[in-house]
Amino acid sequence: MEICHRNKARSKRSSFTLLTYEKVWKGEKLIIDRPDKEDRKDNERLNQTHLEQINANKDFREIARYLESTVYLHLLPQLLKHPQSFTGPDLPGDPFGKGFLDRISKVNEKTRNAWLKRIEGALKIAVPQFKKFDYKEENGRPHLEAVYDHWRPGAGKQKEDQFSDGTLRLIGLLWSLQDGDSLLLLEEPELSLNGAIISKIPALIYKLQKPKKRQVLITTHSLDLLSDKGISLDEILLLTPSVEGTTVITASSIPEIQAMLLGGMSPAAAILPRIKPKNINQLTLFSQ
Amino acid sequence: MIYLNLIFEDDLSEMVLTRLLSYFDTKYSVNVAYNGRGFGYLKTNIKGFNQASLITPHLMLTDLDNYPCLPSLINDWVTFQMNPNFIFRIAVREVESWLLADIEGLSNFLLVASANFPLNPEHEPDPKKTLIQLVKKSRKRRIREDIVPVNANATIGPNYNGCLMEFVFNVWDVERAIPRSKSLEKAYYRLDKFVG
Repeated sequence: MEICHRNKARSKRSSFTLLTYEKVWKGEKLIIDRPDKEDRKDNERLNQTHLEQINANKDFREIARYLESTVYLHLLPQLLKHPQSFTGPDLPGDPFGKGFLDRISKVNEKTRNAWLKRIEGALKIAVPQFKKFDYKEENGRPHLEAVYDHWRPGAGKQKEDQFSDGTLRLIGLLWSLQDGDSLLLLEEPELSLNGAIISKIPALIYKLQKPKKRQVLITTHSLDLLSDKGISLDEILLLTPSVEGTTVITASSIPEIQAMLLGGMSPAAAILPRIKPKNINQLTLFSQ
Repeated sequence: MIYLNLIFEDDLSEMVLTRLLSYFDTKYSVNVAYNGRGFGYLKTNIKGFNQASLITPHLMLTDLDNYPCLPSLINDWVTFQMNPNFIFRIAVREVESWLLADIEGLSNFLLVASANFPLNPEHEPDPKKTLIQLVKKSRKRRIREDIVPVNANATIGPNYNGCLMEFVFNVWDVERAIPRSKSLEKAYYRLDKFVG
């Protein structure tokens, strides 16, 4: 299946995304080829793909279902800590973790405890003085409670609104890797975390998704994350903005990068300097 | 035109390389610039860059720093067969000495009398320190504030690189500096003869 969109300003006030083409093949056979006759008669139809409409996607609903099941997570610790301060309608799929605790509460107890136990094990290693981790419900509201080593016994208890941003993001990451088996999109999992923890993320993702053969897609700017030599160049996509839009290429398609890895370099050392803005050096020079 | 990838220790070295390459008009064009932020990245990855030179020519510039002499650094770093398209250049002892070698230009830029400048900048054990000592004499307040460290707990001033990059970009004259710096001269002629 291929879909191509283009943005087109309809009026000065609003802009719509218009369909350029939409093609769907079943085996070798092309079953959808838009724009078609109807589209040419009625331009308004180009506001929507057939993919998103149940009336039109009958023959390839599998694809729609698959895409619908995609999970996107970019956990914002402040939203999770103070959900009551951010009112307004909740976003579908809860991409920013506002209802993260509710999601935990909906999993059946046995599974929940097993998953939390695993997270507890990781946090014990990654977070200083971290000792124990519990799920609790108070007045019907789910909470996470952690016990830290403290010289005064009983003083080391903290609720999720006192956790550090990094602890919460790590919990979110570890939970979402265990929850579900559909395509998982993670936005910059390195945020707020210590470099030593970040460098373990690729192996963690591998270990937790392996039994499910789950596909995980992450975005990153992190040197620590990409320093893992276990990441294949085929698994790294470089996104480069240009005048004609963003180009996407695999790192393995650049012979120089392949040669550098052959010479012992890590993916981060070979790739990251390539994707910085070209004239970034002049930022210090010309701001005077 | 030869497409080159650059590898260097910091922003200042990048500007120096860019300026140096500009002396060859359109002979060189920089493709990718790898900023190592210190020599560690260069030393760790030199073999990889040498390997990548099979595909695109690479130019690496590093400082000699505390190595006693050029061969000692080369013996330590280059444990492989060097590719002819890999241009490896070392500034003795730091890239700052290449700047100090343009006495006329730098003395004008810093507003420091040229009599204070060392005649053999390559003999300076710590060119960065020499440069900062010179700047302390500057009659321009902004330059002093940019380059001289705020206190003993910082090694360079808050806009050290930015200010010196401005000098390299606008003033630094390679031809004036060459007679006082052997390592700059060698780098210049290597680039002059290089055919890619």
